[in-house]
Amino acid sequence: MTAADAAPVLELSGFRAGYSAAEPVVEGVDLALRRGSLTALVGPNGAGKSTLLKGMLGLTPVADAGRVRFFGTTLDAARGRVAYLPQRSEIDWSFPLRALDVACMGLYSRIGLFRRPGRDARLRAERALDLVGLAASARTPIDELSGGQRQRLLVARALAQDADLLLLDEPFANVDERSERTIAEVLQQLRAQGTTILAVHHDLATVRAYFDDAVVFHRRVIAHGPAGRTLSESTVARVFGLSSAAGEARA
Amino acid sequence: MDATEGISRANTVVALTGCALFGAVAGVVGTFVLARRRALLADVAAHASLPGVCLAFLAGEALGLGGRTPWLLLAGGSLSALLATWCVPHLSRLRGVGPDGALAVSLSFFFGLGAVLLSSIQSHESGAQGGLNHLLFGSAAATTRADLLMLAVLALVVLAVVAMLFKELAAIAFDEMHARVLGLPVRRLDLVLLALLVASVVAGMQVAGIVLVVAMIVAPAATARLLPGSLTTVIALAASIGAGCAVCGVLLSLRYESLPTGSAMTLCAGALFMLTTLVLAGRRWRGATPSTPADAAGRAGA
Amino acid sequence: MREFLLLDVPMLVAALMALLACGTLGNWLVLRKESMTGDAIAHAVLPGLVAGFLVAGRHSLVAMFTGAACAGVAAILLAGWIRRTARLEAGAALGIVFTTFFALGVALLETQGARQIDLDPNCVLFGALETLFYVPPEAGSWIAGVPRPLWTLAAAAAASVTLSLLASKELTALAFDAEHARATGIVPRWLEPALLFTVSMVVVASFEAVGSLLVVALLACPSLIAAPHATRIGPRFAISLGAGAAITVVGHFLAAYAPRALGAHAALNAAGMIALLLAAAVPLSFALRAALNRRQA
Repeated sequence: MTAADAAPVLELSGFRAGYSAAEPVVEGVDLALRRGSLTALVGPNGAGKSTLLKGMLGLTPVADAGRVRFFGTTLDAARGRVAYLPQRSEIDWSFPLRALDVACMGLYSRIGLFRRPGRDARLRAERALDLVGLAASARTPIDELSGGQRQRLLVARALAQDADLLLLDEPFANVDERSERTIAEVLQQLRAQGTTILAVHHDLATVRAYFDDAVVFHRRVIAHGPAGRTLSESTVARVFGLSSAAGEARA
Repeated sequence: MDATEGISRANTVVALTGCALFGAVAGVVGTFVLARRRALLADVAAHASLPGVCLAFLAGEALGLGGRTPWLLLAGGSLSALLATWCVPHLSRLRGVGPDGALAVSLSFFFGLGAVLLSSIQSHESGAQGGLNHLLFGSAAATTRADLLMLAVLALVVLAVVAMLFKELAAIAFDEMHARVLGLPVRRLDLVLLALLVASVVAGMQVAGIVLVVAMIVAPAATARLLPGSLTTVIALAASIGAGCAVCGVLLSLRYESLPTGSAMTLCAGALFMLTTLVLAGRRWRGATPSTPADAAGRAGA
Repeated sequence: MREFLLLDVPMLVAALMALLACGTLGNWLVLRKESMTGDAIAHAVLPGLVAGFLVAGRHSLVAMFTGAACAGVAAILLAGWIRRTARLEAGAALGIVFTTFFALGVALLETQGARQIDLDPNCVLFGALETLFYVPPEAGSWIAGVPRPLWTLAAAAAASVTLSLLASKELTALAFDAEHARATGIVPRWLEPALLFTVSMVVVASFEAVGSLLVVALLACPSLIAAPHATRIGPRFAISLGAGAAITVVGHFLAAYAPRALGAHAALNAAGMIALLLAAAVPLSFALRAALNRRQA
């Protein structure tokens, strides 16, 4: 393994984020992801998983950024190499676009300001659609896509970016079984190519099947390591027991 | 009709009482409007009363009642305002239109129709139509005794309805989910609130003018909301602030004849709101302040 | 014929250019679910406009735009501050700020002498299209006879179209999924303020000639008319402007000549007529789409 491979792709230390400085939702996170890892971020509801991702990307107020490094540098310097799939977007699917147009959006920063997407961009976008099984629907208006297809389309948008780090928030939410399998396969393929993936995942039953590593999270990192070992019964019980105890204390 | 004629027809005290009553009612209704997030809808309703008023005017002239019959104008204005608000939810369901688009379409249609009708009336050189122009920006001086009587009746009706349905309106205003669970007829109560809103808007047409009346509905209530207290306190505050701003507005516009009453009232209400926000922001910055309804709304994700 | 050239043509050109200016940018606003922003801006800029005119005279464009820009920016900042500090919902914060600003503008207009600056509150609302007529100049080229607002409208239309063409993919991404656009850096940070600023300038330029009512209608309605028929951005713009133009022309002639046909004597308010037709066309457009769909099925 070269030095470049060994350096963490994503590194957080002392990271705190939340809606206000007084009440951070995410406390003192220390996390490092190595290149090519396929990691699930799991935890109970309200654990701050989405806030963690959004905070890292500067989409939500950060109480104390501590140290956040993408590929050893700041987010702004590394923007093109980081792709993001939001959990619940405000997207209005009646927007006048076709599937190919949305996939193309992943390439916009590469194309540059004021320039139109060329043939090359279109081909890349089509390839991304193909990866998620939407090649046939490239010219379909997004209004006519099913829920599972729409989710796959958003994954395709992230894939088109050809990013080295994928941050996905609930990529398997609200998808049918076929779409779920397709997305899982795509993630495996990407990992094989050296892409680093961190995905918030809600279904404990499938973590071991779809991911290599897991981070158990409840406002801070509870455990991080290979999925099988980390999700031992005791950790899970502790985290989910923790959340109900905390809930009772607040009530 | 010049300023002195107007004032002598409705002597100043009566005029001030009437306007204060309007201000109070606007404040009370405004509290619920804010809680139900209907401020922009109130604006559209106000503008949409214009075509109804114009048609009522024309009907009045045609029937020989005289164009400026208060109850007729009020009725016409209410009908078109209600029609416009009825359109909004239906339009917003159209794919890609949404609530914001629905408001813009409804406003454009009804206010546009009003503009066309107004221009038609204005080109007819009749004495009475001068009064219609005052309806845009309000004129306390041009308000007659009959207008004030109408206003008072409407205001009292609104207050009575609010008093009778107080706890139900409070329930849907502050927690619709809970109200549904309790089995309250939310849709019907919403319609009642809408009717109260239209009634307040139409009551204020003469003095505040349709373009600016929404400020009297929203600003005093927003100011009251900034201050700590229960719902009853907030409503009482909104009513007092509304009445106060209305009275100040009238006095200012009687003093400076060219200043339309609606402008004067809005400036008072707006300035008071900003001042209160400023003072409270200053206090909050320096130290904790008691939780207010505004804070609660903020936490609920306003 | 002469009447047509001197009176109708300038009015039509003004209305169509206002459509081009407002209708183009309006597509972005509607797609971003901000159809009522135009209404807010139109109300907010009035005191700045009036102050500018009072300071530098009715025909000073610089004063007008500077004043309006300051007022617009102040209003937006104030509304934002109120939203945060008073924890008020967006609609109410906008409502208070913009009605207060508008009230100030009306107060200034009425008390400082509308005659002095030749702008009265009715015109502010309902436009002054009827006052735009061509005055053949005594000497020199025909250009001198063109009413000044037409030039401002032309500039506004040019700015609107240029921005939309240049930044179309970025504006589309921003409108479609703002969070993603910001997260992945597709959209430069200055684009959103630039859009808002251009919208404000277009509103100010159109205000004078067509009034706030028609400005709101032009910003929202053409785009909504195109909504059910366009599945791509290009056709959305094309249909909105095409349908908008057709309706504008019809509205103009209806307002100008229908009363005459009915025996009345003065024209109806053109801005109001066009606005109401544009608005009425929205539900009709959806009905048309539904009927076409049924026929295909």
